Amino acid sequence: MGLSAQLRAGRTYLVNLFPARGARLAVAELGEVAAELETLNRTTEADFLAVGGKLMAFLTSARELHSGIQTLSALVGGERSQDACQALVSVRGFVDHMRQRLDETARSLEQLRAAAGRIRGRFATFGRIAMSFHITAILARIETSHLARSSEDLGNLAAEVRSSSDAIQTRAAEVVEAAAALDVRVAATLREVSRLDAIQRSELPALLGEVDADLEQFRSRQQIVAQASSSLTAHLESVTGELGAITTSLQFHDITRQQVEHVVEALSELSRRTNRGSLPPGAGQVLRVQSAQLKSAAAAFTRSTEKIDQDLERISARVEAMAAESALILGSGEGRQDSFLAGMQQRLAVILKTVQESRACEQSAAHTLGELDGLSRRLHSAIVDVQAIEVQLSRISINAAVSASHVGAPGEPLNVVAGAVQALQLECAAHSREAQTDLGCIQETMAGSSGGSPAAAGRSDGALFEELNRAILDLQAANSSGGEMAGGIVAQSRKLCENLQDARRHSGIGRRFAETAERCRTLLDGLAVKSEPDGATDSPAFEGGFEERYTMHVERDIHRAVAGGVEALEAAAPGAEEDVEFF
Amino acid sequence: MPKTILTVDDSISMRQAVSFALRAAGYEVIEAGDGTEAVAKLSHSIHLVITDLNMPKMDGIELIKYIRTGSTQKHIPILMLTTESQPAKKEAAKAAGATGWIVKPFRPEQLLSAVSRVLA
Repeated sequence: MGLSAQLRAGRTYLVNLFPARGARLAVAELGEVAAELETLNRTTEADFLAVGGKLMAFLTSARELHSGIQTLSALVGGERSQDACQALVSVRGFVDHMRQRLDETARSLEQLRAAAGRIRGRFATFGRIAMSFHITAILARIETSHLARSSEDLGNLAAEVRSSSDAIQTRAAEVVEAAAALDVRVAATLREVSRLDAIQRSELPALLGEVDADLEQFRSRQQIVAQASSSLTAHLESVTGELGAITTSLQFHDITRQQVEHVVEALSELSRRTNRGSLPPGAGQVLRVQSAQLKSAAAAFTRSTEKIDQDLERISARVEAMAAESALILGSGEGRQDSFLAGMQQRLAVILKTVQESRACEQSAAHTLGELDGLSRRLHSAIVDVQAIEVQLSRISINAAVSASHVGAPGEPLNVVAGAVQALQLECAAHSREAQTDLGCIQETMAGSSGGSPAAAGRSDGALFEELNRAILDLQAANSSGGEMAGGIVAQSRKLCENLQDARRHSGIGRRFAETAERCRTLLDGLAVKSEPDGATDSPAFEGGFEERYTMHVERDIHRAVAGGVEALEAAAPGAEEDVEFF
Repeated sequence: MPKTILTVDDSISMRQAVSFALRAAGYEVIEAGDGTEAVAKLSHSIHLVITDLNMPKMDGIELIKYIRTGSTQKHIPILMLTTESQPAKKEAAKAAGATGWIVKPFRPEQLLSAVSRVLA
């Protein structure tokens, strides 16, 4: 048996032994109960204030948590990520197209190189022809000197043949040199194209496979984000509702406080009216009413604290769920460095590098084609010059043949020389025609290359380049801010959970209140019995005054129930429609 | 611009409950512990007064009478928020000029509905 129980047992013994002293003891007991109830009110207020003072902080933190998570959701499922993934989708088509263009560029360059090589070969042949012309010119000089005594005007046949062949040789040498230089450049460009093609064939398939995996992951992540967002919104609505419910529960402290205050007032009044050691008539009923008020207050208080504890537990669970949702959305667990966004960013960066190299290679090829354009003009000019010279040579050979025929038999050697010139001219013309054909191939190939291939997916390279660049910058920014935000959300949710746990530590006050109220009720019930040794009476202790103290609905209802001899009613649930009235 | 509401109650926990319900709905809240403190804090920036009835120094009905007769905010809406059950007290509040009467404990949505109605 505890000390207080022993004291109470001792007191009861003394009361029965010494009635007068019993009355003094009754007053003392009333005072003891009143003091204990006053202490109860003070201590419970501190605990309730601790919870109530944090309500707004809870709601603010929950809203900030939700807002942070919504922002994270926007990062993953919003416009930025959509744009980045659209860029990935476009990239696949662009990469395929880019490889096609590289292949076409390589083919064109090969064709051009081959045609230029053929022209180079032909013009190299002109050197040999020119040598033959030189020999023919010498023979022409010899024959014309033999025929110098004749009356026929042979003109300057040797000199003309020589100068024409020199001109052909000079033009041919220029073309051969230019074609050789161009061949070097084309070969270098082809090597670069070949290198790039080899890299792309080895790296791009795997990269594009990862892009497909990224897109697949993104689609499933979008679903997760959509589900998580609606789940988070539902959590926040529930948190708001549960905090609102706590608001309702908190009010019971004020109500029970008033009930307890009124009990203390009643007991104090009873003490004052105790006369010569006797409790006033009807004290028993008063004491029974106060006991019923305490029982009602304890029940309401316990209910409200249990409800608060349950609501805090639910809120705590929801906050933990919200924090877990945020980790899902970001796609990273605690401690991991990589994230979905970082992976996308890396792949875009590699693809962008490949695009840049391809663009550089194409620009080099375009430059080479530009030089080919200059070469083809020079070739055309050279061929035209050679063909003009061929015409001259044909005239020279015909004139020489005519002159030789006029001379007669002595002119036969000259006729042979004329025939040689003619033959060489015909050989030269054949080569120049073939060179012209090769030049036509070059011009056709260049026309096909400079017309360009269709742009990837209806958009220029420059636009896609900008799009990829922007997507990378956006993802960098999103990744950086997303990481900070996620860290903030995790810290905030932890803090909120700690605050909630801290608030729940006060949940023991309901039990303490109930224990104290029960202890006080036992004393009051005992006093009530002792004050009515002949049984309960109907007369109230305080005429026309006590009921006025009970201004609250619950107090009034309990007073009437006890006065009527029925079980005291439980307080009605709050929020009935008739509880609001407008005047 | 959010509306500002003056809440008057000698119970801190009750003021907390009212303030939370109102702030969660976006209202600005000023608190007073009794009628005299409320008088000191009353100003043209306040759009509504929510007051308890039984308070020390100046109770709710005295506060309403003061506002309706002695202040520059004579027409401001005033809601009585109380545990009081006596019809006479309700009539007294009505006669003093209260706009409405709400019984404690309230549900937040109930309070907010009443506030919206009187502020409309």
